[in-house]
Amino acid sequence: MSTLSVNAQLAAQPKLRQGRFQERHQDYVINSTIDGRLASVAPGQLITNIELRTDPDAPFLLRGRSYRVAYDNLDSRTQAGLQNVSLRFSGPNRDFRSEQLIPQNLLMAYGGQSAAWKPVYPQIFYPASSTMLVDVLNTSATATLSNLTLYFRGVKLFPWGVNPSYNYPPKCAMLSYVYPVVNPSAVNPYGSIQNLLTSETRLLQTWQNQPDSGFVLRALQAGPSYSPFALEVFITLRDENRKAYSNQPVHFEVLAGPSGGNYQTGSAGSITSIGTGNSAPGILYPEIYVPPKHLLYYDITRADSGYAGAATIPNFPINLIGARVYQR
Amino acid sequence: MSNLYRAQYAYPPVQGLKDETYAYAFNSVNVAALGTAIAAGAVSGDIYLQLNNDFEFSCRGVNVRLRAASSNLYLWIKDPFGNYHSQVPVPLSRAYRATGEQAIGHIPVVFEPAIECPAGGTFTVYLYNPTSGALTPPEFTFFGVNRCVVEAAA
Repeated sequence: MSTLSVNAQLAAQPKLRQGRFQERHQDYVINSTIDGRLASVAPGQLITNIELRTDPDAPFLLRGRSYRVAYDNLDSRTQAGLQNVSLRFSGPNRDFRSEQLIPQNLLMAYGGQSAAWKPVYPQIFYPASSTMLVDVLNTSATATLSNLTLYFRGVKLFPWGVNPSYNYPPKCAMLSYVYPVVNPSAVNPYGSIQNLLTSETRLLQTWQNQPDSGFVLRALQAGPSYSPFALEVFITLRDENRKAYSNQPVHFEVLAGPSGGNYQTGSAGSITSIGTGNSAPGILYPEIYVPPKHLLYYDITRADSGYAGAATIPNFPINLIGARVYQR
Repeated sequence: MSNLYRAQYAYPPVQGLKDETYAYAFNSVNVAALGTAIAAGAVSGDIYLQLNNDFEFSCRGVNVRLRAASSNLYLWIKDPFGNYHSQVPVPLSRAYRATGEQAIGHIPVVFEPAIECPAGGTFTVYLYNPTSGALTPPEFTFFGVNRCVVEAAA
């Protein structure tokens, strides 16, 4: 454990401490709920004018992108056709950021999944209630894209005071730490999500911080590493006011990583994700400071009942990675 | 929520000392308990990983390497001051396993903030096997710097 005078460091960086706006982590998702045409994209099909309307509560700064399709089956756990997605997207003024549709496998590894987001730099500013347009093309001659989902990561900008702005004590000691997402008990000693059925939704699950220290949540890792595996499991992370950090549930391998599946690279080949994992976990920015005894909420949804051989997962872990913060 | 940004490893050397890169490796060669398979459902507790007694060690990352292709062990780390670094044992592959160990080398998992270990301190690890078969314990490498005394030139 090390003692740091955090405020002393912050005092040297006043712009970071008191920026004009308070940033808040945000993932925008475009899936078949937003546009039903994405449920199944036929070979050669072009889908134009997919609209994502940003929330009315705050502007959005786009800083990263990712995309995925549904796994094919439990045995191969491959995202078939992932290499066949070309798209272009616009800024808030219908200003597309490329004239042509760009093959996305040329831009990002693993579709930007497994917490390997494709950076968007410089960031793109979207006013509140603005609209992003997306055009998508399935370039394959044979493969259908199932449940194509696009992710746009960044921050919302709120005036200070709109949201809780918890921060480090003036003087504190910190300890790198990992919490399981469920508070451990005699019947759940390792704090995992137990007995997750093949088709199930659990809303407003809670994680409560310990009373003796704050916790700064910086990253996530999730999912079982052994059979029965999870395929289509989605998480919505919420703050203590139940306000979500995304507009739709985010696939656990996109939000947290690592990925346990395979990514198709060509007509016949596929690879696992390499270089992702615990050293590069799914990072939340800005980090989320949870004071002692305060809560985080999350929803978890599993939609694997359509896969042959899918079984109830006895223990689905979600690790909250960060540091405990002790006031001194 | 904050807008705090602080560069990792922004630790200046302690006055009068100098930092020298150092790493500790623990495996079945120097820790017997890491050479014994853990039975299904069993816990292998109180595995001591002792540091040298010459310098304080600022531990900034760990690399947990598995001899099998993957492992489903749960790991609980206790630092030399008795602080546990997770609430309970957590899945090794979802918290501490080195990244890319099979293809591109090993990228350690960062301890942020660093763990300041006294000379001769001891890490203690606990391993739990939740599966139905025996599993081989991993190897540990702790990365960081030794806090060395600056000596006058001869």
